[in-house]
Amino acid sequence: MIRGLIITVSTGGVLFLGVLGYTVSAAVRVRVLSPIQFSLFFAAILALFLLDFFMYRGARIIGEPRWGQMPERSQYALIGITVTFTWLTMKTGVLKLALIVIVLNLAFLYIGIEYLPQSESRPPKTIVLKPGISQADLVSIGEKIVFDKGQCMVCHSETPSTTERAPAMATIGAEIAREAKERGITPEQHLFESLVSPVAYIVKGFKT
Amino acid sequence: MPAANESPTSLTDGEIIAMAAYLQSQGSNVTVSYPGSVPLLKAEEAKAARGEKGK
Repeated sequence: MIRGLIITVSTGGVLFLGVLGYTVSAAVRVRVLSPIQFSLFFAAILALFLLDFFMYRGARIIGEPRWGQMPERSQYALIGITVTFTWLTMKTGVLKLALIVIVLNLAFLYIGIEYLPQSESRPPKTIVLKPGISQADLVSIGEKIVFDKGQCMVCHSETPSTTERAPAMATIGAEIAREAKERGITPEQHLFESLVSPVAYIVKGFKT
Repeated sequence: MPAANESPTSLTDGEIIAMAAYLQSQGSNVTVSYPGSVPLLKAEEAKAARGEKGK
């Protein structure tokens, strides 16, 4: 939500000031509005960088960056940046500078597409298990699903904490066995019920 | 939490059993197996579809 707000405010601000620029004198447009537009743009980039830096600090790495690949929306964003910068520069009336900016932005676009690591959203692959798979392999595959495709860590934490929204992973097996015993059912039954019908039994101390 | 066999994760029976095995391994003995645990999982899925509450 914060990311969306930063992008919306900066984009809206740049566009608003850009349109406003056509209603004021060239001096105001060049000396006042354009610097504010550029400042908004760079402030947004800086804010998003800081946000990502703190959000992803210490995050578990679940995959390698794919170099040279870029989602379509990122390509549109880069082209949008090029157009915006060119537009802003054209407003100053310096055509020569505009050409330089176009060349620089094309170079930036090329570097962005070819060399920057990108994360691309693709549907996760279905994991097919072989009948009779060993429990060790089952656990190993299960761990990958928990930390990736299953998206379990959105709510669960690895170790107990006061702010967790769901039981901690580190002790969840023991908790499942204890709760199943209290309910008079098998751990497998309790576990499968929790996975396919999460609201059927709410663990004490949690809301959902 | 959304049901593991429904959107957005839509895990298969095998994937749910693998996940259950990992969860059990966190402090307890792993007792689920594939495909041995499929009938029990199917039964729980059927209960969930009927909207039955746990005790």
